[in-house]
Amino acid sequence: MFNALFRTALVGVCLFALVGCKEDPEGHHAPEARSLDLPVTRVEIAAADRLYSTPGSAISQERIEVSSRTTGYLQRITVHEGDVISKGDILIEIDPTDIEGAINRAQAALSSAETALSDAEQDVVRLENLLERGAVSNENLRKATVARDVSRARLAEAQAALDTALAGRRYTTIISPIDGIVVARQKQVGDLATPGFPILTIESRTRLLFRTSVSESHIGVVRVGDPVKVAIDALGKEDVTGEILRIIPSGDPVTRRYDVEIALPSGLDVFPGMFGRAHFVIGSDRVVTIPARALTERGGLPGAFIVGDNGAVHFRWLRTGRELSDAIEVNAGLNGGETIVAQDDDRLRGGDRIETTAGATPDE
Amino acid sequence: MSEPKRNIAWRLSEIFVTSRLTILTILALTFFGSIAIYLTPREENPQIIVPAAHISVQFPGASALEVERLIVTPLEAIVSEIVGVDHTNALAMNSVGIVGVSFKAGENKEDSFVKLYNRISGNLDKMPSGSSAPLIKALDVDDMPVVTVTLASDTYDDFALKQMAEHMAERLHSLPSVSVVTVKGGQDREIRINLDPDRLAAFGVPLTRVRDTLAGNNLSVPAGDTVQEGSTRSVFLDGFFKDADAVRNLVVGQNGGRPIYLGDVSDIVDGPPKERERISRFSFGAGDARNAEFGNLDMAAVTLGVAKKKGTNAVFMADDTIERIRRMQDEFLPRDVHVVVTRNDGEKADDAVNLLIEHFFIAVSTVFLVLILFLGWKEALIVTMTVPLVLFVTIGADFIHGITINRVSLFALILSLGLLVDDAIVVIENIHRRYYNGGGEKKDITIRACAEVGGAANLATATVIVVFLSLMLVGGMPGQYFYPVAFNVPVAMAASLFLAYTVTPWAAYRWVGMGHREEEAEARPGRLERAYRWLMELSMNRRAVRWAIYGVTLATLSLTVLQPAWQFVRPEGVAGPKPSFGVSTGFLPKDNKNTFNVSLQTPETTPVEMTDRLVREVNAILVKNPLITNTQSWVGQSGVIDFNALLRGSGDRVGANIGEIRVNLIDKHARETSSIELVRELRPAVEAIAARYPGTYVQMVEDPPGPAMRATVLAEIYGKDLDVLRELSGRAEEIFAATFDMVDITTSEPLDVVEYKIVVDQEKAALSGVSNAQIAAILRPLYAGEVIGRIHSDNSRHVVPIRVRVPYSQQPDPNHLENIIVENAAGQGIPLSELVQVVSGLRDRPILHKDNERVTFVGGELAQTSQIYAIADLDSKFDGMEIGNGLRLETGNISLATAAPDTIGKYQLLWNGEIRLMLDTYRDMGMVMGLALVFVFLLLVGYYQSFKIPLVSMASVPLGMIGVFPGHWIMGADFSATSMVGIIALAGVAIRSSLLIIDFIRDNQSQGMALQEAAYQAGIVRARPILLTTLAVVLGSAIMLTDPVFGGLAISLIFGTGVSSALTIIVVPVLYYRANRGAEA
Repeated sequence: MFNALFRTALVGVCLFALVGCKEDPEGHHAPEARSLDLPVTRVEIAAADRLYSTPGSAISQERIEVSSRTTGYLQRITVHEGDVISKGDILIEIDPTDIEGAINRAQAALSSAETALSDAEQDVVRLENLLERGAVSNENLRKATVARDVSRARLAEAQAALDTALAGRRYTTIISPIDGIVVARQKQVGDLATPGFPILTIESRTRLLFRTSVSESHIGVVRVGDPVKVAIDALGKEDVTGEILRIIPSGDPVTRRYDVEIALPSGLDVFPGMFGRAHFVIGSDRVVTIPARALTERGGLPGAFIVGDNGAVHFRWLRTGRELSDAIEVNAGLNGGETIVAQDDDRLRGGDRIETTAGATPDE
Repeated sequence: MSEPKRNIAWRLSEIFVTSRLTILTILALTFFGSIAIYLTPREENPQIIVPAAHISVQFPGASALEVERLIVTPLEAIVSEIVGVDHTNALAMNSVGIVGVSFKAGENKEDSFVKLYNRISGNLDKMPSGSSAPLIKALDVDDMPVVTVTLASDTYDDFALKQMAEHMAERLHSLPSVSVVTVKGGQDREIRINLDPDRLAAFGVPLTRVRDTLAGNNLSVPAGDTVQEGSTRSVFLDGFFKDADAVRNLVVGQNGGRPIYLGDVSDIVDGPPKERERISRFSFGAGDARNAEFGNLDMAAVTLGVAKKKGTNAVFMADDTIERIRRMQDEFLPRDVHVVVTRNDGEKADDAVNLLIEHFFIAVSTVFLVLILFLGWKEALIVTMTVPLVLFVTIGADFIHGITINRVSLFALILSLGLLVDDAIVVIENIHRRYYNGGGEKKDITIRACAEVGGAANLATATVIVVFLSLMLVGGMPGQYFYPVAFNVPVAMAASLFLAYTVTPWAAYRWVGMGHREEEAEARPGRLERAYRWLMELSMNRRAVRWAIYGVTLATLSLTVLQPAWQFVRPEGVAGPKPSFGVSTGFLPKDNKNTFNVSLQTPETTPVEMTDRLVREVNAILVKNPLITNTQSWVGQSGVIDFNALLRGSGDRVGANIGEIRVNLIDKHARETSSIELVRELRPAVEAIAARYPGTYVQMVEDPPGPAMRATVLAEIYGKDLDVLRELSGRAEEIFAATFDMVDITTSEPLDVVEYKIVVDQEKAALSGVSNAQIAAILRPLYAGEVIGRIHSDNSRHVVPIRVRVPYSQQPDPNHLENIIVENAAGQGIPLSELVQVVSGLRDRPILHKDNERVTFVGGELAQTSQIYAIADLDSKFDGMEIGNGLRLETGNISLATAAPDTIGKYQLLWNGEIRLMLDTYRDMGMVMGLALVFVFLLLVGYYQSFKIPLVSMASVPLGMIGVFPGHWIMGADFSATSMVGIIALAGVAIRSSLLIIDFIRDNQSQGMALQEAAYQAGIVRARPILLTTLAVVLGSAIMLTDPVFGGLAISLIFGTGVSSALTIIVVPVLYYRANRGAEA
């Protein structure tokens, strides 16, 4: 019986053994890492200026509103908005009829005055001869002399009136005082030009300024003559360096801002009125930066590929901050000193290897 | 033998022995049981109901202290007034207060919530003005997804994936068993207005105007009716924004008569947000074949979580859901979207249940083989036949009573298997014996045979029922966990007894012939029997031998008790590895699961990108492991809630410093390494990575088999002064870290977070005509972003919010707010920097409360040893610790009774976590067992009309204990709560054995045998059935040994029963003889 019992126990043991027979499986290996030849770079901790940016607009330093000195109908306007003009170009001609009439009148007055003078001079010569002979009194000569002097003055007056009338002819043609561009044309041919009312607005293109306003708390760091970076949106990413020309020392008591004008370098493809930002340097930070081209996106997240041991890369999610000139500030995700893939490549996946040809060597 | 009484056994067997009713009963039970097995909801573990809720109150701008005084303290008091509330937790932070309430385990969920709502709404008037109405969120187990399916893709982003997942989710609702369907992860469409403060400033458009314009123009209203051309027509103002263009073309200002559009001053993006606060990803691990192709890919993922309705069968629900999802995948999902089932509690439950049913039948077969050897195949077959019937009855009862089929309820059946067959064995044995002796009509003999054993069998069964029923008195979560044992074993026992009186005589009558007994054990006095007689005579008559037996027994008993106790009393102290012959005492061992969780928490100041980096690094290690099939990474939020997270309260954490990796393993049947070993193996590598991120907490959380707690070892330090608490927390953390085997240490004290306090210069602001409200309206879009209305589109599945925010790259440093323009009433723009001062400070630290007192928590887990020794070690270090000002820390709550916090003039450390649960459980079980023994004693006194005999019969219980601890030591297992249940079961078996011996002695005596001979003969005769029962119990339970959780139960039962049976045969007759010697003389 106990033999049989033993056998039963054995059966039982075998049953449990069956349940317990297991082995760990081998596992499936991840795909082989590919090797890609991409440049790498080291993440820098660079000093980045702390900038105070203020928006503003480009303005022209010379802006001339052309108006007529004389009154007259506009006979011809030679330019239109946007036309580029040079100094001395004829811009406007005003109907000269009134002016010519005045000249004729003055010339007539002049010849009348000349005739009157020669008559008066002959009177004086004749009376002097008569006085020597005693034919007339001293009194008569004195009066004739006075009449001659008056006529001479009248002649000068008529001459001056003619000169004035002739000068008026010059004002009927208006020429450009500067090299520049026509930005507005307020009157049309046939309109009456009256002194004080602009006909054309022209702006200089040689000298552009950037006007911005600086808040009270930062006006202290702005000094005339300091160089300032100005980013004009229309110029793309390139910043230009201007120089602070003047600070208008009168702030707005409500908005607490002061106007500052910055002289822009010449030769820019900038038109007055373009939007831009002036970046005043108000301090300096040490920040982690990566080249703009290293920034990539995987799974909807911005980040970069970190080159780890043996050149294997893995993706790291980054919080990017300010865009510096050709670099991007990284606020979280990198400590500086890591090696990253310097140029994004769509083929790149976590686990791939980088075979370095350019730039820094990967960390070991 | 005298004429037996006409007891229940007589009556039942009389009815059933020849009746057709028996066949009908068998058929009915089979039918009913099969249906019940099919229909009863299946679960892996019994559902533990702990009604809990969170009440949150917004109090914008209020400091943490203000929130504590005005919101949290009164609310906590109101809530703790409710009957049935176990604990309250509270958190007071700047601007918000949260009170968590947990009811006692087993309280009715609906009733509890009604009480809570009632209480809160009745006290709404006590809330301070300016605070929001309390928002009550119930934490409902039924809302927890039982199936999660992850959609992952390398080519589609999580916005697209979410749309697909939502489309799928809509198609799942029509399944009747499906309850809540959630989509976690992914992003929604929004109209994002990326403001550039510089551009706004350049155009002279203040931020406030953008806000006001957006809010004031997104409007449609019905304007009434009018009658035109003889019919009524309605008039409607149609002004809603219908798409991003409408927003883009909104005029926000003008300059020289030219309009400035919103599109001029901002970038308007229609689509998912680019600047993420949380993400989820998916990776295939080396355990999945797809790793070979997609291993290196970083896949965006969204997870569809499907909960089931209460009372429905998770198995069917999971099958239906997954079938639908698969069909939808074929129907409309693009090919490069992976659909992976990442959680399937239905399948898990089904596997566990099927495995156990399989184990049950293996155990039955083993018992059957034993029975063939002892009883002959016919009898064995009859006995075995009753087992499935008992199973049917029990599961049928579960079905009606609302107990699910789960591991615990099936283990209850396996553990009672030995006892189940015993009733049938006793009956069939007696019938057999009677048939052999012959004498009379077969039917009559059968009935008499039943009636003869009826009394003893009834008594023995009643004893076992009483013992197990007493388990119902265990309270709290363990009570719920073990409830199926307390219910199923008594039901099974009662059923087995009934079947023993009905089906067994019927079958015996039909199939067992008269006078066919071939072997007769009593007829051959073998060597064993001679040895037994010699031993018995010696011990009955010689005091020295007897006392030697008593002495050895007692000494062995004390030695075995020393096995778990030695570590406490040994000279080198309680800390350190367990002694080589020791047995650790734990609560519930961890189970071998198919998943575990890596929970990561970086310091509060960590940006989400940094947390992501940590998660990625940890994940990279995990996916290389060949046992890991896939991982789900969550950054900025915790993953899909599971039961564990629900009980730990870690299910809905959100924040840039939160990370979680859900790791799914290959099926446990296909690997050798258990999840526990795997975690132990992976932990050093994961911790090494986390060590590179100072201040990071890593927890590798395995789902516990039973109730989950906030931590295994949890020190709750109560006190009044927040700074002292913080300092104590720091010291506690160090002490924890220096403790042997302590891992995953966490504290509730956050890092200080730097805060820019923006202080408005009131004079300047007033002179400029700007109010605080205007400044606030500007600051929110700058840093937090602000939703201003939504797009009203007919074809969008979601609300599409219009969000105004400043992109990260444009976000101004709070110290440099020059370009932020605030507009005054006169329309003038003033730089914000001119109106405010920025002061650097610290954010308000959150204040924690538990049970109405200020508290700070320090928690830890133990990698492999039992927490009880760690606690003993820690307690000795903490108790009386100098705090300063002559104060000393008091510790408590490691006695059997729970202690309530008390901060009057002192600082107190109360131990909580799993240790408390364990103490409660052991206390309850100990008490329950004592109570059960008292009941059994009373029962026996009633039956025997004697006080001595019950005492003798119950002497076998401590005898059984001798086997328990050495058994654990041999198996290398910890003594656990299930071992404790095993001891309770053991008590039932042991009493039963000794009762059968005593019954026989009395029977022999009544036939005129002398006491000594009667005792000796009873020992000889009962040795066989006792051996049979013992073998049935041992072999029936042996299948449980492999289970990590219920192994302890099996060990207690197997070794206890073995030792107890061997000793019972010797000690009980001797004791009985000594006890009744006087009476005979």
